[in-house]
Amino acid sequence: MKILRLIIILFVLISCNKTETEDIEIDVYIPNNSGNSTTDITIIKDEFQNKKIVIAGNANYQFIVSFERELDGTLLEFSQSEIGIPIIMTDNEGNEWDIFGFAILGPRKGQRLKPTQSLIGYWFSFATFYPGIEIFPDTDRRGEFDGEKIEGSGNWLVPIDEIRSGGVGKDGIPALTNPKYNRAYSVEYLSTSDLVVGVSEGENQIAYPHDVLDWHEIINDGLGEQEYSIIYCPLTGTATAWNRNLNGKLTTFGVSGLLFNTNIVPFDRETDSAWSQLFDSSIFDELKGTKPDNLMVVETTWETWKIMFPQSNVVNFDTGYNRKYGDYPYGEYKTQDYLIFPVKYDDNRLNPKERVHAVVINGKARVYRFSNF
Amino acid sequence: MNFKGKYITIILLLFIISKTEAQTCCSGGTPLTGNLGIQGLEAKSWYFQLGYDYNFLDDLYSGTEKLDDNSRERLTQTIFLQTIYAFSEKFSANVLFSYVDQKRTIFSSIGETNITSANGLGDVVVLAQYTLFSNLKRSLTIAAGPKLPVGKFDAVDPVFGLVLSTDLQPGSGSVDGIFGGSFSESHLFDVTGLTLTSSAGYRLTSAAKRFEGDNNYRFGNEAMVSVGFLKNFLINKTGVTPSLFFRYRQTSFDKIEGFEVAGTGGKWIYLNSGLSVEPTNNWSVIVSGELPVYRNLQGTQLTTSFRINIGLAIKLYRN
Repeated sequence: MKILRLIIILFVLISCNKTETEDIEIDVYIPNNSGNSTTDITIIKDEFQNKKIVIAGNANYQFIVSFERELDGTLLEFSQSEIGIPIIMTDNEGNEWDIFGFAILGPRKGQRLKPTQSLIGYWFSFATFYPGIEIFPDTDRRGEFDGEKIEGSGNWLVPIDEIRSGGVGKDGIPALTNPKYNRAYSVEYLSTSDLVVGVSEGENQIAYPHDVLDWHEIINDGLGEQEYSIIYCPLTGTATAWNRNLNGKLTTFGVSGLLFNTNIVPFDRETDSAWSQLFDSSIFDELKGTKPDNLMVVETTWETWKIMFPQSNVVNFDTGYNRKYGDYPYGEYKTQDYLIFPVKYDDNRLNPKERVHAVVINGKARVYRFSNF
Repeated sequence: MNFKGKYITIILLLFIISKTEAQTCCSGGTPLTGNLGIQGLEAKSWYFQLGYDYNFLDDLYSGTEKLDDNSRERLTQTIFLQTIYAFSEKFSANVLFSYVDQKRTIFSSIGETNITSANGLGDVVVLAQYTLFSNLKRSLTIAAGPKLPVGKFDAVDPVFGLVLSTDLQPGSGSVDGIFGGSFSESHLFDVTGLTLTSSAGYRLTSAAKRFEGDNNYRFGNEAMVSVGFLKNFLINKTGVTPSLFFRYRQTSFDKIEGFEVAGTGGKWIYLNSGLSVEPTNNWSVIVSGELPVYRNLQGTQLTTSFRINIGLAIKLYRN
């Protein structure tokens, strides 16, 4: 059985990561999962805003992902896959699903589960953007801000008095465009516990290290047919990938230097409109009210990513900017309770800097804690 | 106190100040401590100095390493007016007013230049000065007083009307305590006109309220010590005094809600060279330039590349 598993893993890894243009000898990292509890994937079935969803995660690997359970009108039942990462779930039809929601094996091979609108970040950020947010499994206690809403003012879609100047100015934090990569198996500049943000398109994946995102916050890039911008806010710890094809025009995003509720406010270079990552909308100027087209991202540790996608590309430190990429630029911000800028709703049900996974449906949010996994 | 005792006192004072956990006027902040100009005067006399300070920052440093980066620069220009009045040989008052213009320029990766600027009245420093001794050979004056937050602290950007960040504001918004002193010894090594000049200053900061009082921001404490020499010459009945001194400056982390703000604070040593021209005993023109010779910054910071200071000083004596 163990040998069979290894053969399947080897087959899946090679088939998932083969490239069209390069013939490279690689070291394939095969996870040895047998008898190791740290590789257990916890599967949670839940229903939120009348959507049946499945949430899968592993606290040691620092990832949580979530998907809608219904596919082509069929409600699937999920359990932990026996194969090992990047395959995380199996279903009642015999399909094996990977961390990005692709069916790798089984009758639905090639199909994809619909990812929920979700992201990982610090608790305080979700608490202030979604007042009254629910905390799984205690979803009946919604805190003191239940019922509060974010209302716009002036020409903004959000309260202008909660927009702050972050101190660096427009483009003061330089966004990257078309970054350079190394292959994951050859990367030596990351530590095992470093976090990366990953995207997947077809058989290819790209990882964006927090070490780079901490200094640039936005990376305009593309993979396959997708042209997108990784938007990362070090102050809320949240990462998203937005399609940068806006109304038929390909653009790039930059860092405006503004913050809304201490969360990044990107701007698009096509119309100069301001956007809010966590409000998930353009909030000022020509495109005000436009919702971004979100691509699924997976956040996890570098060690985990390298095991899952050894042939993937990883953004390297040759960015054209001279920065201390190994150094976190915000001191003790990650681990201490303070915020640099105030937020509207200060919900103290959890530690403000606890990293959680938030699922957003119909403008409401529910968070899942790593301790649940 | 005998001569030896006075020297020991001065050295101890400088040592204590230089060892104290120090400041931050933030990289682009108002250079008040550097412009204090503590000095004693003859009784019932006035001293005025109208000055201009040009502080240009485009060096990006991390620790002691200079990073290769040309994406941004800062310029702080300050016009200041210093007034000293001596009530007696011992007691005098020193008041420093300032008007500050801050400009931040960012050169984006796509060739755009984004400029943000703010200007307005800076904070005011009021010092009570006490001259411990002053004679033809030596003088020592100490001073203490508050820095009052009368400076503009709510400057907004012209595009969105949003309050600019703390480091771009002309004022600091906080009441700070300023302590300092200056010592000089003339005829050093029995050379006529050669003077040892030194000064020390310390700024003990307090927190300022930002964002409608929702947030406490405290600039780090700042310490400064300078030691150097000047030499008087008389050329065609005009006094000419070149000077050369080292200035050490140390600042501690800024704090938000009591937590240290990364990318603030550090240690600097500057080499300052100046020239004072005194056509008469009553007035003089002072020009000086300053270059950093050592920088050790906490985190990554944009820091001073050079600084120029020009002043016109007038003394009005009782008789």
